[in-house]
Amino acid sequence: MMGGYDAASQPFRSSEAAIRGFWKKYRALIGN
Amino acid sequence: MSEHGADAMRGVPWPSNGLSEIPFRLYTDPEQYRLEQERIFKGPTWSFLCLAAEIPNPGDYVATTIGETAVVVTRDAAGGINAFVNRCAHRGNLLCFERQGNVNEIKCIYHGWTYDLTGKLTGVAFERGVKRQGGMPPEFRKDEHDLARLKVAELAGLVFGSFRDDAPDLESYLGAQVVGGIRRVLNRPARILGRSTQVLPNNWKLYSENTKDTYHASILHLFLTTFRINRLSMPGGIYIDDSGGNHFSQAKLDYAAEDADYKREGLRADSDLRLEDPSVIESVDEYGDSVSVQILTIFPSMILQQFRNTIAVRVIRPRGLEKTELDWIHLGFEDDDEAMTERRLRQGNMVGAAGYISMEDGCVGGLSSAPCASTTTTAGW
Repeated sequence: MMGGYDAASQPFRSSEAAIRGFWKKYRALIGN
Repeated sequence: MSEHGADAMRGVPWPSNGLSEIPFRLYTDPEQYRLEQERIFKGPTWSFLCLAAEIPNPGDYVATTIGETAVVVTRDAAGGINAFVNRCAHRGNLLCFERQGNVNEIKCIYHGWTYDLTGKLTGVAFERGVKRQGGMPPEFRKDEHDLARLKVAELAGLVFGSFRDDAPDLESYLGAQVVGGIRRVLNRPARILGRSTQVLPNNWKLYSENTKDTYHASILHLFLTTFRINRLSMPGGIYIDDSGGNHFSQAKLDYAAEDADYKREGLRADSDLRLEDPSVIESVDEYGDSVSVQILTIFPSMILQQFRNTIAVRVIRPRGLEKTELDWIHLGFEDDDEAMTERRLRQGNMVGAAGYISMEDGCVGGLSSAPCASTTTTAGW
């Protein structure tokens, strides 16, 4: 997965980390 | 069982505990969409309402939406900012129809129920009946029928609202780095240069992902690559808050950055194309930090964009499973001189519904939607 598997800050932009962050927050709120 | 109880079982099941595999049904399932309205847009989140500059005077109001819920934002006589649901407490009729205006009170056209600028019910037509007949029962109390109020907070001239009293305070919700990213761009009083709305043929989450996707920017948007405006080889990074929902990415202009990777990928890195009128990309380093692009997102539905000298707030508004409205509010600052305003407007050609860069984002969500509807497999991030 582009830029790894987590949703943490990164000193580069060839990454989908912020998208994973979206789903991290989404799942926490939706509850599934 | 989760804190949401049995209700949670009606959502789309996830294949794992990871964040890299997303069921396509999340974009197409009607029940999931309903849950999002309740748990995200009406959940313990903060949504952008308006700019404080849009309601400078007592009586000013803006009618907007959070998710699909209609909301009114007002400036009251004491200078306070209030937000409440734009539905009469009587029969649920829409109260304010115009996008913005100035009023002394808010009156429902249906039965004349009247509210003050804080949402307090102040008048009920024929409350005591007519000729001593009819009217409301004696136990009726107006103070039990105020409009449903939202929690409100303001940061750097941006007004946010939350339906939940238990939402964390706004700055805790955003995280210190993201707050810093907002204050960096909106570092003085802003003014609105223009606004537009475009309709996206896709689920709202596909656009949310797009705005957080630094990977695609200089691949899909060849204008960026061709004219060396923004490439992944330029210095920059991604800053994500602990919750994951809020972030910003930055890129610094560096024409000397190594581009061997771009040449290898064949991404029009060595084009001879030149702009006939390069003024559209000519910019100044107005913040003095060489950051030419900053895209900042606030979960669930706001983006603050600084692209060279174009500054805009974008707001994502779900309008059903496969339709999204995207509002663009183009900003300058009160102390901009004429040359800077012209520069911002000229560079504005790069963004918006028909922008040289962002036009692709307006259709790529639709290209993702069709596969979503026809498969049950997962997307990978």
